[in-house]
Amino acid sequence: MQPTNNHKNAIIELQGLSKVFATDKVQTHALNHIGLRIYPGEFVAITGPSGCGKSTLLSLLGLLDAPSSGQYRLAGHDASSIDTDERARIRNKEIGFVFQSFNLISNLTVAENIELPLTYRGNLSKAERHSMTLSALAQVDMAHRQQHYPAQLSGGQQQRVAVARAIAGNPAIILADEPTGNLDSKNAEAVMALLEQLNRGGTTICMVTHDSASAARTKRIVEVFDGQIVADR
Amino acid sequence: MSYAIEIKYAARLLLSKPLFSVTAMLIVAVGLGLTIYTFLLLNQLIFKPMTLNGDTPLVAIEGEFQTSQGRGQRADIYHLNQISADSRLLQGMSLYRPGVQTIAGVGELGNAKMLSAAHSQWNLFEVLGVQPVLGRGFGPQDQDQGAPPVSVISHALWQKHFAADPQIIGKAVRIDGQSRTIIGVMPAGFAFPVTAQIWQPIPLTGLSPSEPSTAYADSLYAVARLKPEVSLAQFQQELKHILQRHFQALPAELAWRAASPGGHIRAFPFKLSHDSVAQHYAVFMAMLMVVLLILLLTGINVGNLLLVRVNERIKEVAIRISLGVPRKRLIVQMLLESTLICALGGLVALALAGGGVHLTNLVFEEIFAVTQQRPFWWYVQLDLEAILLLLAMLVVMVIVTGLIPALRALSSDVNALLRDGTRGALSKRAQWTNKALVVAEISLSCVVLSVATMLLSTSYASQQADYGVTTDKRITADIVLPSGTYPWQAGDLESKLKRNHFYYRLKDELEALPHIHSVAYFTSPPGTGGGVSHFEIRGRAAQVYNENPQWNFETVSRDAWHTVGITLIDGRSFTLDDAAIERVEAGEQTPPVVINAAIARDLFPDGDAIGQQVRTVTEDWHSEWRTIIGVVSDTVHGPTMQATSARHTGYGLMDLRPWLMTIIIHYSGPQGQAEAALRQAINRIDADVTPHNVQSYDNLVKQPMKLVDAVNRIFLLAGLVALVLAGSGIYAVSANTIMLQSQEIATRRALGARNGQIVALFLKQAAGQLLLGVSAGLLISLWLVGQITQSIVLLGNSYLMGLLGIPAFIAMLVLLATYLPTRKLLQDEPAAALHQV
Repeated sequence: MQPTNNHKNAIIELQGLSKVFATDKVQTHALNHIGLRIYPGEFVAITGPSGCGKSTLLSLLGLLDAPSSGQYRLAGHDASSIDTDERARIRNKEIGFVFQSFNLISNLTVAENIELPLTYRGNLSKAERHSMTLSALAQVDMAHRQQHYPAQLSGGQQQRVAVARAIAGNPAIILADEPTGNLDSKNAEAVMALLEQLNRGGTTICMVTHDSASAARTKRIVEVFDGQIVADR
Repeated sequence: MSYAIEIKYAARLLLSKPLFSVTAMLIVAVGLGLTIYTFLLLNQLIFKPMTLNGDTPLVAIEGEFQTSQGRGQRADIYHLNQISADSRLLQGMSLYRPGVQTIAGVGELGNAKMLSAAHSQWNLFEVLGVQPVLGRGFGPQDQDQGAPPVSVISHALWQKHFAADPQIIGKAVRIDGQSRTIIGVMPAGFAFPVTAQIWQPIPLTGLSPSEPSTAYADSLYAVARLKPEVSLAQFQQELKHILQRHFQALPAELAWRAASPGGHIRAFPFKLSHDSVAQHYAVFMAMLMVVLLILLLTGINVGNLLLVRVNERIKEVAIRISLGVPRKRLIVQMLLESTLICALGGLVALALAGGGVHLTNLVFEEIFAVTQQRPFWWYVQLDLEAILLLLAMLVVMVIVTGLIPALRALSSDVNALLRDGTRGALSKRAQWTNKALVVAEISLSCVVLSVATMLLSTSYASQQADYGVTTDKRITADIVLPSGTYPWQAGDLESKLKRNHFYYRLKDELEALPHIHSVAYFTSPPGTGGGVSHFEIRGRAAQVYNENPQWNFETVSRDAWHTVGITLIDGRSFTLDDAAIERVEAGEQTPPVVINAAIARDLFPDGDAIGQQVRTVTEDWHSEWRTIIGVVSDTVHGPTMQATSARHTGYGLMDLRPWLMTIIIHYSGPQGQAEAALRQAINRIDADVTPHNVQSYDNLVKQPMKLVDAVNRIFLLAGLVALVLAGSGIYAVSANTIMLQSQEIATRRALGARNGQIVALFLKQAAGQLLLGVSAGLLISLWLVGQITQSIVLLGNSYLMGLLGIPAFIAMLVLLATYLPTRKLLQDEPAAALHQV
């Protein structure tokens, strides 16, 4: 699949994107005709009340779920109708995830967790992977903990490791789902500062949050309500 | 505190998941049912000491168990009397020997009927604590020289052949061609030592030797009753000391008795004296082991199912804990659920065991239908011991299967569960527990299935084996000559001539019939018999007797080979000249012997067998030299799966040793016609003679394997149960493990892992567990097989199927049980698992 020239400036472009969950006889419209463009270097916050659909939106953006209808282009690729393996390849190469509950794999060390997405690429040598891992660890200031297991780290440290894992493969965009939601204020501040620092370095970030203070530190806020974007400023 | 609401809640929970409840209940039922059934079978057949009407166990006292013969030997009466006199731990002891007798005028067509008999010391019934229900037992006077011949008969014989005549006592009956007076009728079900229908006293002269002897006629079996509070081990110790003392005084030629490795005379529980039990003891033990493993599998499976349930309900449990439910009450609730499952399963288990018992008795009927050799204690029934064992197992199972999930629930991080609501990643301990469960399931099922497969394929191969004979359109029967009119006294020419005359006259009369092609006699036809002894080749004797080659020795009639499809491939067959008993006994000519091709091939590879001389040797005896006159095609005696199976056989001439012979008739037309012809011909010649075990040759060959076959069917059942338990168990554990790792899987997918990589990851993990489980399983299987091969010869292909085929099958099962739940999970988008709230 080749990128198309018409949309080369936008990393993410959504047109009329909808997501409907069907359970038994009830259909829930989680997202309704969403349109959105995110450009390189942006730090976008997606906000809204609980249940408004912001996490569903992030899942669709991260190719973790498939839309019910609409168009989605990611880094120039038409991501609306591709098979699961191709979606996995795009996730691996173009997206870095940061989750609210860190989602580090408990029986892998810090370094192994960071190296994990690189191993899925298949075209990187062990030395390359090691070098990229160390570089990512250095960026989040966790190099000294590389042989520790997640359970041996504090929440803030775990989230820094998660950020290192997200940036290790030089993705086109980082998608962060409530990255400070499970952290105390001090660690939350540290993680936000880290994200800001990455953004200043040119990394595009799209963050879901319902914390207005965190949202206020981004360059752009997209507000979602009842499955629709109600504000974009 | 009222638990009514908890009981109601537990019942509602079970009803809300009927598939889970029924599965768990059936697993309990099948596992416990099989265990109870096997316990009942082994306990009543083997383990539960025989006491009859006494309070203390009866023990058998016998000579060495000879593996090559597949049976225990009779012991020298001289030593048995010394034991009886010197023991301080026995209440009483009696000597006996089983045998066969004929009773005239009660069989079909007026034929005589063969009876299982026991010849005993007068005090047998006193020692056993069982007295006749009609008439009297034996007294010391009945063994005196010149005492009138008397007999006691079984209840079954009295009812079946004497129409329960209340006036039977004092009546004279023709037994073994002689008149004997019936003095008593034993109670129903009594047939000591195994299947006796008639008992008679051994004359005192045969019970009091003044010196040790090696003669078979001077040996008997003994049964003794221990004094109260005396254990078998104590008596065995006493026996050892008594024998040591007496063996020191033995003459030099009998000194070897003191050095016998297993003890020249042994004492053991009476039930183990039965050949079937003694020959297959290791198989029975293996069966017990296998069933215990299945019980373990059952426990693991039910516990695992309940663990899965807890994992599914973990959040609900967390809410209950947060609402302040006391730990005790939570445990009780979990226990109630397992109690309901186990109680229902226990009831079904009892019904299954009852059904199994009923079927077993039917199978025993079938096995012993022809031979009528069913031991009198081989009637299995549900008893109190089994029910108590079931209750005990239920209690243990309730505690284990209820307590483990309860503790798992209580050890969860309630706060974390309530905060983020996810099922969470598996803790390290939980991961190890799950892995250990899978490894245990794999190894246990590997053991059960491997052993079951090896036994079944061996049994099948044994039935299909080529015994070197044609069995189609052949019937066989044991010809029982009454010892009164056809006495068997070694060296007595008249006796031999009389027996030979009967056998050959019967052969001539039958062969004169148009539908009878030919008739032959064998002591044991190929496919039956077996058991080996050493033989020496003249000029090639080994220094020690037991370093000589081994053979099975049988006798056959003249002109026997073609009746069973054996061919003469070298030399000549027996002729009338060979049957000149007088010349042989005078030492003017050596008796002839025909060997089978296996002996010729293995021991005379230069083709020089004809003319060589051979003789049977034991440690203190040898037969006369026999000259090899011919070589016949390969034959095998005894089922190939039994240790006593013999590929080397020498055939002597029946005329020189016409003992208890089996007749083989090659016929055309219906089998019934041939059987009737046999009975009519015997009746014409001598109505006191009886054909016994009349059956097809095919059936005769299968007969010794029927019991093993029945045991194998239990193994098959155990194997199938293990297969279902292992299959469902491994799937449940794998599915549970994978479900609990759903978030990790989703994370890996979010990071770019393709579905194929996830599947490969889990298959790799499963392969590691598989390797561990199968290795452990194979090690245990090999140990068990080592035990079993003490009783049974496992055939080559069986090892291949059991030790390669089954692990391959289990590997497929495990990989499938891993692949299916993984694939199911991968069908969902990763977002679903990442946002499990």
